[in-house]
Amino acid sequence: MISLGWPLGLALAAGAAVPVVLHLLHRTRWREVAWPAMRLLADVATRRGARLALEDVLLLLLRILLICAVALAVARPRWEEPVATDQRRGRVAAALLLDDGLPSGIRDHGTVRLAREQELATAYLASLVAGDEVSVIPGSAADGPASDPLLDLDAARRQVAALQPGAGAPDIPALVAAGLARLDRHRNDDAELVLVTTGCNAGTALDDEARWSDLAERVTRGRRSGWRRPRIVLLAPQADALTDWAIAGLAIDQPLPLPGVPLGIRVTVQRSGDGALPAGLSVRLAVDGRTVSEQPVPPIAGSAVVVGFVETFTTPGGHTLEARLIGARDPLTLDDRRCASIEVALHVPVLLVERVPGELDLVAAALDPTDGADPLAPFAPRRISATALDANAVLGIRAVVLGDVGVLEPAATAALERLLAAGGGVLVGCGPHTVPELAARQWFRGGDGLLAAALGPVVEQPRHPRPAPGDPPALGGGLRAAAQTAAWSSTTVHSALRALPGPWQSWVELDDGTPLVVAARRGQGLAVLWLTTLDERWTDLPFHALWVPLVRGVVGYLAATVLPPRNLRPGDALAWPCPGGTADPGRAALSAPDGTTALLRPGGWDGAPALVAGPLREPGVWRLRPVAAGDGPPVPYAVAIAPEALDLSPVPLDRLRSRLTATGCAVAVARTPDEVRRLTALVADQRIVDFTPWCAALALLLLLAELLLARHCARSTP
Amino acid sequence: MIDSDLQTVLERLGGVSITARQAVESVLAGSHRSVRRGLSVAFAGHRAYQPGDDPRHLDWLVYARSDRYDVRLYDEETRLRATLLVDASGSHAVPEVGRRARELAAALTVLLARQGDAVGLALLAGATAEHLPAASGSGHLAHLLERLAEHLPAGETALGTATEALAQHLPRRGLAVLISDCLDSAASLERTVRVLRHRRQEVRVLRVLHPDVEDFPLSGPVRCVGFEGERPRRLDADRARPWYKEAFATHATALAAACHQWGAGLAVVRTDEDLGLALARVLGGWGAPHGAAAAGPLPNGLGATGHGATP
Repeated sequence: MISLGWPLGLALAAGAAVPVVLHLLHRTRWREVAWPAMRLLADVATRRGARLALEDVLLLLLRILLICAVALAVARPRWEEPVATDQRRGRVAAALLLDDGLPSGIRDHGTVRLAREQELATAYLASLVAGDEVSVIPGSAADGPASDPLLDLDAARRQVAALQPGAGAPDIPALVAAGLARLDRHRNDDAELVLVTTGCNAGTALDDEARWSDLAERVTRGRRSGWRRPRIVLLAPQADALTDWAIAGLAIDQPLPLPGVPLGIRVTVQRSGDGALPAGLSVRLAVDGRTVSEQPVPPIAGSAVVVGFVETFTTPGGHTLEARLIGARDPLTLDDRRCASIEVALHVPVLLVERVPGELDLVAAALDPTDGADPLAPFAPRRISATALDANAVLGIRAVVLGDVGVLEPAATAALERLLAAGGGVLVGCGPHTVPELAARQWFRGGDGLLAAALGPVVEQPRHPRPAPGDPPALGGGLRAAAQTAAWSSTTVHSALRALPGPWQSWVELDDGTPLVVAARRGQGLAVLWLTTLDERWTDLPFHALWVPLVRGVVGYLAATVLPPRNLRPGDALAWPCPGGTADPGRAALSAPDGTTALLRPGGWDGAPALVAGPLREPGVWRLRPVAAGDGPPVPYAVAIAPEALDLSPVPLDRLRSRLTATGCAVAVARTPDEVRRLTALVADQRIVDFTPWCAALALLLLLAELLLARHCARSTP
Repeated sequence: MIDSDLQTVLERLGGVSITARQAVESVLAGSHRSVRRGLSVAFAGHRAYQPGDDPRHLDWLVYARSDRYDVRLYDEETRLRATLLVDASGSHAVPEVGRRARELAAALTVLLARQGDAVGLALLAGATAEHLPAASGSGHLAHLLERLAEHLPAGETALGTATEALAQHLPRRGLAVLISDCLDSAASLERTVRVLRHRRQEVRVLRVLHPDVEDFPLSGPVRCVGFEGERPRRLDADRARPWYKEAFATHATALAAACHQWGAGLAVVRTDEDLGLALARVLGGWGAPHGAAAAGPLPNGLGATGHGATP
């Protein structure tokens, strides 16, 4: 394969046009002379003209070739013997990417899947020699701090051997991106990305075009520290189809459980593969670590089935739920249980922001009819003026309701957006003081702001509201059932702003399909837009029986997310805001699911001091116990496996390979240690022929020939 | 008419006369020897009587003394009938060349007329010739000079063809003077001389040569355009000069060889040469023997009448 050391040098070849231009210019400068002895000239032209023309053309050619040869010599051409894409050409910079996600814990054929990954990785490491660099990057640490590559291959082997199956969701594109980033720290030229997968489809994101395109762009964007376009070695252990039973979901019926109110609990049992239901397979439910119920798993038609429980919590505060599969006897045990942390509501802090005092009286009455007199009231609304809204006002708040405030200070808007990003909820009411253009510019901000949808003009036509199709989660079963009665149709919305189309979800709509309450995700939180007034100005809803459950349902759903979050994924960190403002690790103790004590360190949460721990790897219930009694009750945190990690079907290797190839890298695949050894065979003698001296010699020869010919021509000229 | 410069030249030439070395055939007496025997006053010798000879030329005294029948031979003095063949092709449009050719023709015309010889003029242009037959008298002389002054060079050089067309109108014996730049091919010139010689003409060739034609002083890239419609030639003059000079020398040699072969005198008159000196040199050369070939028989064996024929 021909390559150029300095391709720009070829630009000098453009100089070859100079002699041609001079030649053509010379031809245009003929001086006309009247000459009588044309017969003699004809004789000369006949006998010598061809020679003269030949000499001219030869001289021109020599000069053109001379310039081209010089340009070629400057460009430093060289021929490299083609080598197979899976062969090396020098010192290797390897990024060894090991998927230690949930599927790595699969035990089949007597070994854990991770052990087979380690075997392949060790075979690969054996192909490296002194001077090669390697970075060992487990999937669980892909987003961790980068370290320098290892030149000590034994240390790399030890790192590989020390890996343990994790519970995290694999993310192959992220792992490859981490490998590319790590190659920046390498010094060697011959870059290799070695991706060792579990052989399962989980985390491959093969259908996520955008992520793989980003990866290809990243590879194309290239190198910052000198590595060439890396070669990808895909090591995938043989993965047979298997049948695994897992608890894929643990959910409650009400977003905001209330003390003393029976709570429906839904446990989703998922089957990977097509194995039959094991005899005696049941789901055991534990609350706060105590088994409360057990139910058999019913016959499964598809890939999942829901097992329902009902439990009543008498005391408010944090509780844990844990569902466990009994009798699964499958190759992966880590996904046989799932836990969740729930907060039984009591005095959920809700901030009501009014333009004028009393504007949200009806909302406050719906949330807390006794205005603080009821010690078991689920909500504790606090009302402030829009002008008083700032970052301090939303501290400790889980949901904010905005009346028809019309305009907010930028600091107030920023505080609400931060709340949304952290997982809080914001309900925005509209009204005559809401200016759609202003709201779109300051609150919607192209879909990044606190408004769920951009606002259109006011529609002034009496309509009846109804629940939007699709069983909106914020609307309790009673509200949805009320659609069959006259409860909804007896209410009227006289005016409402129109929501412009966008990626929002409609919860309540008018009977002509116009959305009335829409919701959209913003960060970890939820923004809800109430397109009519939250009082009686544009609707008579507050005067009907639907008002209280509707407001409580929406606000409760917004406030359901306990902040900081207590339901985590493996690899997430927990945070506990320290009452009093000092983040002292001695103020609390954290126990892991296995009962060991985990380390807490000072950190922050939404700008406030907090104790943090993590990343938390082990699924289960993590309990944080404040030391001082005044710091509150124990707080349970639940780490549950992400549902996307439960796809244990064998990876379609061809599709994964084509995705990797689409990044522009050469991809080699090996499934056994022997194949790894064959793949990584070192090519010691790659033939490289440098043509630069040849071109220089050719240029000299041409120069000599040109001089001789020019001299010959000059000699024949008196 | 004769311009003042030419008149000056003629005066400088003084008594220089054109003497035909070969006897010319003429019925008029003059200063030239005639090959016609029997009627002249100059006894040339005897030869044996042959059948067909006029018995009146028998020398009875010889018969009486030696009993042999000999015929008396005489050299007869006659007037010369000269024809000036002036090349009027396009190449003579070079001012110096055309002027010098006309001067030479005029000078010779005047000189011959002054000797009392008959002078004719043929202007050779292309394949044709405009011929004014030889005659004497001041009126004829004036007509010749006027025609010389009037004619404009034009057409291709085709001396051989033009001479062939002219030959039948020339006197059987006489002097033919070809004035040309001789830039036609040597073969064409040889053909011209041969034709004239077959008409028993003593041939003199005056080559009018511009020094540039010989020296080729051009330089750089030039596009040479001819005077006779030739295809223009582009060349690097500096690099072509040696080859041109070689071609010129070859051509000149071929011209000399052709003239020598057919007994024609060849003289070169350069345009930068003084006309008087040139004429003196040329006419002086004509007075001397011209070489064996000039005096010998014609190459094709068609018979010869060398000067000084023996009785």
